Amino acid sequence: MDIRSLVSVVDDDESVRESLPDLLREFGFAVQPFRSGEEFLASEYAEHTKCLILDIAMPGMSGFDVQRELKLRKQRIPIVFITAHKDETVRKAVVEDGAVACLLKPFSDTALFQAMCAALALQ
Amino acid sequence: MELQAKHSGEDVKRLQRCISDLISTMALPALWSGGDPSQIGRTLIDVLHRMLHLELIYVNLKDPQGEPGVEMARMDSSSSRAMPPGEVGAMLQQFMGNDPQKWIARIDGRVGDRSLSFVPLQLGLHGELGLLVAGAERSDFPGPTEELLLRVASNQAVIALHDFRRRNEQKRQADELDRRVAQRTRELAAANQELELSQQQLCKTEERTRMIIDTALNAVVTMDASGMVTSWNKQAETVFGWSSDEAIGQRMSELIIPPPQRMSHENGLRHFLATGEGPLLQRRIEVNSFRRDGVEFPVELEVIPLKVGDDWVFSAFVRDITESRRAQEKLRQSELNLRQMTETIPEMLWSATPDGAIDYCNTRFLDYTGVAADEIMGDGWTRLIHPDDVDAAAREWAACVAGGTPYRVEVRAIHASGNTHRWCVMNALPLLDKDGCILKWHGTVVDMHDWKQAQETLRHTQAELANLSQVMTMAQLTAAIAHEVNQPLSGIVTNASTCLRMLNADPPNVEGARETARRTIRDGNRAADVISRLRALFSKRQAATETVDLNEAAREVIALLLNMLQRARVSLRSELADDLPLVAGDRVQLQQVIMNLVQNASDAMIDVHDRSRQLLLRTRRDEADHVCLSVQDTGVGLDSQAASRAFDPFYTTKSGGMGIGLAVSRSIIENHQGRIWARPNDGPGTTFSFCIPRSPSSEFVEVPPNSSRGSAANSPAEVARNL
Repeated sequence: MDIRSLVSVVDDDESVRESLPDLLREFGFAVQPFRSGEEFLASEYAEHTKCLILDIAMPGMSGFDVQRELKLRKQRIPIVFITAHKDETVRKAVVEDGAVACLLKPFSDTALFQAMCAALALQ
Repeated sequence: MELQAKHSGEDVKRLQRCISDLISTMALPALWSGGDPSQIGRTLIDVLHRMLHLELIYVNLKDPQGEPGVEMARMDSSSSRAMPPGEVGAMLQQFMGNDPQKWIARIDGRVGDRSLSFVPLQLGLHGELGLLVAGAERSDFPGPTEELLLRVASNQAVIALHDFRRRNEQKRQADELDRRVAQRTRELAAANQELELSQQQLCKTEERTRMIIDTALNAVVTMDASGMVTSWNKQAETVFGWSSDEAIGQRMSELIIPPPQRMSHENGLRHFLATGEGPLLQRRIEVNSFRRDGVEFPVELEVIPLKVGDDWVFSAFVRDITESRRAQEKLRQSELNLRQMTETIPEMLWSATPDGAIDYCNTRFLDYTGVAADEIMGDGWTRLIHPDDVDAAAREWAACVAGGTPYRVEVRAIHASGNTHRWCVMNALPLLDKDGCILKWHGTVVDMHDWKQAQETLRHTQAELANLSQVMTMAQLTAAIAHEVNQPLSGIVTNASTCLRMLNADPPNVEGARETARRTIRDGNRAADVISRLRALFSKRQAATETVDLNEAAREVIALLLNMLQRARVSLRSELADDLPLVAGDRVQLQQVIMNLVQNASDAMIDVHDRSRQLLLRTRRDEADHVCLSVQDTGVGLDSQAASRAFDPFYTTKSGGMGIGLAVSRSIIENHQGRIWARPNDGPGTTFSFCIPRSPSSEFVEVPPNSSRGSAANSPAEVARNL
């Protein structure tokens, strides 16, 4: 396994799974994309992930469901939510629930980088 | 002569002793009041042993709940070895046999080395309360007075046991009696102190017996064979209103028997004296009695004849049962009232036992279903329910009965007219006692068929109206579009950022940059696709053409949005023209426009707090025979620049808006060969209006889906001209 910090990206949208890992690798992270929350939770990467980038609206488990499941497992992985829905109440709710940030798609590379730094600083 | 005098002297003594014993026996209930069966048994044994000098007394008192009863026995100490009561009972059973029907008045048997005579007495009419057996060695046992005393004593025990079983009433009376006995005893103690100084022992004894009989529960009166009153206790004074002094020496029948029955009383007395037959004697009967003030009242009464020498003495024990009769009557009346109410109330009512078996349905229920009551009782009610609903209803009922929870189901129930089923709500609640146990279920059935059908129709209409995206509010539509567009946009931005970083690296990662640039272009095309799909949603749809009553269409929209408007605290007024011609077009599309205008007007007033939020929807027919509809608000208003751009796609003044609603509305109205415009009010707010040509006739008119916009005159310039 790569000794760089592992970032997992969970999004049902293929273009996000293609583009976001490339950008994160440019930042210097090791990246593993997943098409669903179930796939991520079942993988061996789940316990080594240092930061989780998580889409909110997905078929099957939503981002909230994944966050809740991790809490139940007592796995404290910093989470950066990404969403295409502009909804201030949802954003507030997830941050209050322990997420590092909630980024509205499309987001700039600077915004993403700041959120990543905040997430990894937590560890 | 002297012998005769001595003889009669002994008779008098015997009579005095007998009366004294009798009185003591009669007073037993006072001693027993509030007591339990074992106390009753013990006292009974004590008293009889003392009075009759018995060698053996055995009492077996049964328990009403079938628990082991109370068994006790006393044997004279000089007689053989002491035996436990159970053994005595077994021994007696050997002498007497098991069948009480075959018992004779006197049974002989041997106990140890002595032969005894036994008198068995059943307690209660059929021995249901127990058994009393008295035994003595004397050959003349039992003599007439002994038999009388035994009978009276057992009778009193029966009364006491009955009273014990009716504990609540007994308790109340016992408390009262205790108080009085205590008071009497105190008075007696005081009187005794005085008497002791001056009077003989006999006087004290007489006084005591009088006191005891006065405290007896019942009125006790006696008369001689000629029908004259010979004694009259305190309780009798209270019950009949005559004092003891007034009563003694009077004819009994004239004092306490209502005039119509006096004759038969006197005849009965004569008949008994002549033949010894008295069908009403020695048992409890309920008759009417007569008070001094002439008022008749019900009593429970037992008359016991007693032979003293050659003369008969009759003792009557009388209890006033006016109160208990009154309570019974009140209960009956209240039941009658309840029944009358359940039968006249205009609802269908039923009740069930705690285990869920129906035990009552009122007449209205029976009339409604046309089914006989006995067919519904128990679990017969299920035959009233439609076969498709019966399983669920019965399952729910079983669950509610098991858990004691309220029952509520909607079922189709049979209706008497033509064997049809109608929708009903069945409700039931359990009546609980203080421990939470179910005493009874009470239920109703309410016919809601018409209401349910009206709802069904309404739902159907709403579903029709809600078809596809037409009722999707602009806010929802906006959010959906934003999501669709933001997704590829996110890819574009991320890929572009990556591309830049790869190119800026040293050395530049040209291959990676080329790949990300390719993806950027692909996502850009995807975004464009989203937009064209949206456009298609609104333009390619084939318009349905029919004749539309715009008033009716507007009313439906208002009904649909009324809740939303109330939440937004907007008061809506409509002025719909009576003479409005029909228009040709797509009803649902036109309703979408109306809905959009009303929604916009409401949104425009969201920040209005210093005046009322009023919305006026108007329809009219204009000079050119067009049908016009306008929506006027008292909102923030549009400036002229905003008004001129209001119908441009993606122009919005709302924070959550996408600027699509009015553009779509314009395209719909133009498709109907009409025009739409906005105009500031004289006061605050804006009025949005549209006009479309009336339908040429009642025939359907084809509206080309992409009709020319040239004549529709709705360019920004046109809008500006209308301002």
